[in-house]
Amino acid sequence: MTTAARVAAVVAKWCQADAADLTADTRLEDLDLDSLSRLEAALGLQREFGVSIDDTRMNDAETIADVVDIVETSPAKAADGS
Amino acid sequence: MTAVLIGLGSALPEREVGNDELAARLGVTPDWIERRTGIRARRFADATTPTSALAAEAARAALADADTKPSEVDAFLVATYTPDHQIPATAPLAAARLGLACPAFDVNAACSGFVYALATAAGLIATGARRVLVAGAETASTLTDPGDRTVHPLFGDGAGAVLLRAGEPDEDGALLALDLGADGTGAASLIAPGSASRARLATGTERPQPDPSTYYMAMDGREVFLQAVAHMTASSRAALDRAGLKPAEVDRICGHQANIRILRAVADELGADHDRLLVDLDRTGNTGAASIPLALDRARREGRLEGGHTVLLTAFGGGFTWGSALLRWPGTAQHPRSAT
Repeated sequence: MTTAARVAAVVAKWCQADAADLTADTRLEDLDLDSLSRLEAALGLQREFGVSIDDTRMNDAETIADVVDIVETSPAKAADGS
Repeated sequence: MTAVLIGLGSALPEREVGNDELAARLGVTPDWIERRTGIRARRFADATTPTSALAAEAARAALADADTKPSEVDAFLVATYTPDHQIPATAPLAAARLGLACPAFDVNAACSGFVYALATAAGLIATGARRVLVAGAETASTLTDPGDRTVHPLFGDGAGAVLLRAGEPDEDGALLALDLGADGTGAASLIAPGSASRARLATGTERPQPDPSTYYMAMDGREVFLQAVAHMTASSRAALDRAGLKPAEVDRICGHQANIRILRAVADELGADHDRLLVDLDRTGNTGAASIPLALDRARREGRLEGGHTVLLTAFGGGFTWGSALLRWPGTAQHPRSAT
């Protein structure tokens, strides 16, 4: 599975969407994401990819492609889980 | 000596307030509240039911549960951030209702208060107390702006209590490990300045006038979510490490009942199935320091707690404060009414 597909699967879980309907250009504001959903998705992405995501970047993301970029450029999580 | 749980009780005010009752006034739908929080209803106390009355009712139930007389209690703690008064503390008031003649004092660690009070009780038991009664009690509805749709629907009133006795670490009911923490740099994210001393200093001490605009609780929900998940997870892991246990060995997780989404996120971070979560917030909302014992009492009634279960308690609240405790759920020998 590509990074983009894995990102779509995680984001879809938090907005009750079908991952297959999410493309790189899908705008997050068009999805059913409330204020906490982006934080929940960020936690889910951290677990899925073993990275540490800056929640302010996640808050600023506009499209699925932006989220993929955040995942690919975030540092690996420290061994202690922080 | 180790603290061993031998009694549990809870109390709720009569008036139930459903989302439908609040939604119209707040300009939202009942479903909007439930989807964001998992809360469908909460209880609101009336003028005849102060925090001390709820604490006493829950504590009386915990004493009865353990067939223990008030004269056998060596200390009584009430965890609350909604005390009846600034002076006296709520615990002596509740103690008077119960006929207790022992030391009685409050613990305020906001929504983490019950875990902090458990830790305090364990300390008292370690230094000689035989039986310590611990209540968490709130009339949190008094501290929320009825027009604030982001805060008002979240909170409810109620109380829960446990009775602990001195025992051995290998008994069912034993408190296995504790972890507490605080970070006051986060104070502004969850605060109710109210009419406490700082507000009175600000308005002048000659004729202090509480500023109504600062009376109610203000909360940065996003920041609180982030910090709650991070600290409840880390604190749970710290308590597990101290007990030599892994998350997979936890049978039930009883988190502070603030928001179902925080509870699920903590379970996800710990790698625990959501069906191990004990949930009470759907019918009671966030009852502050009362939420953990209220959720435990409901879970016991519903048959979700069995003797020997490893139970993780974890909480987060204003301060910020956080805390976790691990205990082995009491069996019928320690806890007569568990069998009924």
